[in-house]
Amino acid sequence: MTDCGHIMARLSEHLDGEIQPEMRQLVEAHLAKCPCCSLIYNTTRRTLNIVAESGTFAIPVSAGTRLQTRLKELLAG
Amino acid sequence: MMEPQVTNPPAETQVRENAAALDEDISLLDRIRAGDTSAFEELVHRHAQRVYRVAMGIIGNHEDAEEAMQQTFLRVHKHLGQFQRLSKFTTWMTRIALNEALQIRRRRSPTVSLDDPQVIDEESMPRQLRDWHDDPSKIYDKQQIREIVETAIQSLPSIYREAFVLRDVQGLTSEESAAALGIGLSALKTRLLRARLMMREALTVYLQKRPTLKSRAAQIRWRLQDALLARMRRKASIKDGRSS
Repeated sequence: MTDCGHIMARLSEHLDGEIQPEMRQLVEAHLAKCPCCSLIYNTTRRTLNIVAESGTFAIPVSAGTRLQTRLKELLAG
Repeated sequence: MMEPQVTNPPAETQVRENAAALDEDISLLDRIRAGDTSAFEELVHRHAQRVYRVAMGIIGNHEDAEEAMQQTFLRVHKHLGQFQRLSKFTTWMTRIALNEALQIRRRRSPTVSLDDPQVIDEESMPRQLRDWHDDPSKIYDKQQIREIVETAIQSLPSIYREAFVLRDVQGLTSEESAAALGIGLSALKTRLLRARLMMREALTVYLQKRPTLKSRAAQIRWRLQDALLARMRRKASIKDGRSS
């Protein structure tokens, strides 16, 4: 029996394409018939896309310049 | 209907890009070892964003992230001779960056570590079951989305945040992330699953559509079904325990 808890445990591997073919089929069959798991799968996938496209924790230009200057000083001394 | 997986470049393109990046790193390392000081500047310029992102993800404030970045490159310079080329340079450097960031974070706020979770349990099951707006950019501008994402990452417990930052912010593979954290692949995947579900919960607060009668009914049905299955599993495990 494949319940929602088992599917949730495989969700991440499925998103990464790191899932065994048999388990992949089980997950996809469950997602096709369970609207709640399907919603969770799709919004988790969208979470990862939003994070990837958000430019999170971009380094400020001034920090890059300060780093190079400081490293030169420290390595010269 | 299920949608396609996370968008990534085609595998062949990614392999070619990775190979070119590896060659570039090796070439820079050889030049540094030969005494070319400008090569180290190039290396720093090339990887500063990567190191800063790890540090910010772990520590969460700019000043400390800058300090971690500086310490990381000093250690890279000092210990370059110890890099054996058994792993990718970026994995080796990321591990150094991670350690520097963790040291600074411990100095600022000592935290209690959590045990590795082995399976998804009821506590980790998603609670938010409302669908999202189709296009977040119609509700928030880029800066707001970035702030929402960064706040959500900072709200994760540390072991989940570390896994998420390396795998999903930094873009390392699962194997590279596990190696950088010094944990097994299985533990990495478990932490990553929880981190992703927690991130989804956090973003749902900002991106969900208004609830409808249908979505409320589905949520109640799903929770009842899940509670029933959990009860059945508990009963089965008690029965197994008695019979063994």
